[in-house]
Amino acid sequence: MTKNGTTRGGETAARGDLAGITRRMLLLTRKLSSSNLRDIEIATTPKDEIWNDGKVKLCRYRPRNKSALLGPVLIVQGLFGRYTMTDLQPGRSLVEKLVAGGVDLYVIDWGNPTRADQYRDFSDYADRYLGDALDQIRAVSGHDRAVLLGICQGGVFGLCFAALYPERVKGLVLTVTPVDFHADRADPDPTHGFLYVWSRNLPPVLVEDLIREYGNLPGEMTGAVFQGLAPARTFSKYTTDLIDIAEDDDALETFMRMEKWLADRPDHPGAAAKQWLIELFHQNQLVEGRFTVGGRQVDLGAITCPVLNIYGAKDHIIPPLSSRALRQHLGAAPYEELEVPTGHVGVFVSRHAQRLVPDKIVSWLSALE
Amino acid sequence: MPEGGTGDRDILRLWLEGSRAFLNANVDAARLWPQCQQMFATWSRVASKMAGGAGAARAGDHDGEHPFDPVGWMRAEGQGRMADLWRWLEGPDFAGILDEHRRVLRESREWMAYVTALEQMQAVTAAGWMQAFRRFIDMLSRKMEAARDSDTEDPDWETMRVLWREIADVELAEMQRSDDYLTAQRELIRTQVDLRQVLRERIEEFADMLGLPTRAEIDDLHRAVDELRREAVALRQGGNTGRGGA
Repeated sequence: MTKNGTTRGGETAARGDLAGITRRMLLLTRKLSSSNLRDIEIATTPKDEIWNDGKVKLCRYRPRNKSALLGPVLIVQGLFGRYTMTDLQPGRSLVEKLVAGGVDLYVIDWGNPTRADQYRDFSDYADRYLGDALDQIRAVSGHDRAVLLGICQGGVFGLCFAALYPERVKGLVLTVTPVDFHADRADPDPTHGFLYVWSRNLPPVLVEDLIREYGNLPGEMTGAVFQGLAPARTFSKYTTDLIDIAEDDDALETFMRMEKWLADRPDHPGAAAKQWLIELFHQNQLVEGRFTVGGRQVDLGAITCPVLNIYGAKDHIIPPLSSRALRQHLGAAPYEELEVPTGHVGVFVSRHAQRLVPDKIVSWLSALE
Repeated sequence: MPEGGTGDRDILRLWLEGSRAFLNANVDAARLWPQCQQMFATWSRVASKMAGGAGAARAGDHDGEHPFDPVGWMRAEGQGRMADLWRWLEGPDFAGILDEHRRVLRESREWMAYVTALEQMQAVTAAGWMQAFRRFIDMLSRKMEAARDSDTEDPDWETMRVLWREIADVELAEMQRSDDYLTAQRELIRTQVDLRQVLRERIEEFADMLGLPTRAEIDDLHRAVDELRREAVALRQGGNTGRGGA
């Protein structure tokens, strides 16, 4: 409104703006009421189960081209979210692009842990299960060594395994992986590192009591924590952002697929959660060489394979400094970084990252051969 | 009952009188309570002497504030000094005497603590949102004023949305790092865990009474299976402690 009491461009523009918002809201309501989250399928790239141990399964993606395969590469997701995020939808899938790039690709699915799994710890996930999975991959592919592609906590599993069994790992691709759990203190961005601050805010005795009572770290609880890391963004995501994409069917479908993935948040096994929160977030044992897996200390300097470290410049969950700290703790292992101008999940699903990350991984794998 | 007596005989006598009064179906309740109160006062005096003054009433104590003072039992608001009552809950258990009352009180206390912590968390969070909103309104007002002065258009929908996000992100980030927030967060989880524990114990008691397996028993079973599984893996690998596959 100008001081003359009229609006530049006429009042039609203002009414049009409001009318546009109202129209989009109505359209959104209609679309959301007619869609069913259960009908949306994610992780649809064809694959076959080749091994399982209880709830833990190993799958191999069907190669497009049986000759000139790169790898083998095993995707190792952490226990806080499902691996399905790497294969969100056709055309926006890291898995699809890697398979298309000639990678012999496998994924380990941790399943949905229950109270029966509450005593599983890092020795189970970062040592035994990974070792068993690599045995199966060797039998299927004929390769003695494989590349581990770790995601977030799965990257820590990969680091531990590569340090304990350097002869079994051909290369490490780490994505949004925390390494130095106190590095957030040096991060100047106030919106970064809440997860670190909040985790350290819980005294170890409270973590022990929490896990004792719940058995596992409930998925609902970790989901609420992740949503609380950026409350303003969470609020606008379900309001203004959603209204904006009401007329864009593709964007709305991607939104629904992301919601499907977010809603599928497993419980984190209790014993491993205690190690994660106390020994890593509180005590930072990994970079201090005190973290123990399978009865042995994990020495990051013992890693010998090439490492590609991918992180999000705007990652508010795992601050870039926490990931990049790896460089100073490796020994002679060849090391390379890729910064992606996105947030945590954006490294896998954003349009920008889709143009950047898969190609980089494929070219890096080609150089390993 | 005269003040300043030796105490021990008085207590016994009062206890006997009180017991008789209690057992007498025709007792006048109005007589019973003053007797109980007298007994408490005498007991306090004796306890204070025996403890060399350590058990003496604290300055500012009034009738009914001590959890054992029956005057307080008759008050609608409960004991005058809740902290003493809670301390009593943490005292030793005596072979089932008043156990059920103590447990009910303990459950009530954990529930009250949880609700208080939840309200505190909501208050701290709401303050952060309000601060963000206040700054947003201030900033928006200035922008609109500037637009009017320069005869340009008011901020549009997109501009306002970006402005809100920028301001809210910064304000809420500050709030979420504040001592108030961190304390409220810690307390909320602490009280949630404590409440859950007393509720679980209560449910396990019922389960035990009905012959149903309790969660603690199932957890024991899970632990045993897990240990057996680990032993089986170690045996399969020839006693190798490392479990990195073959």
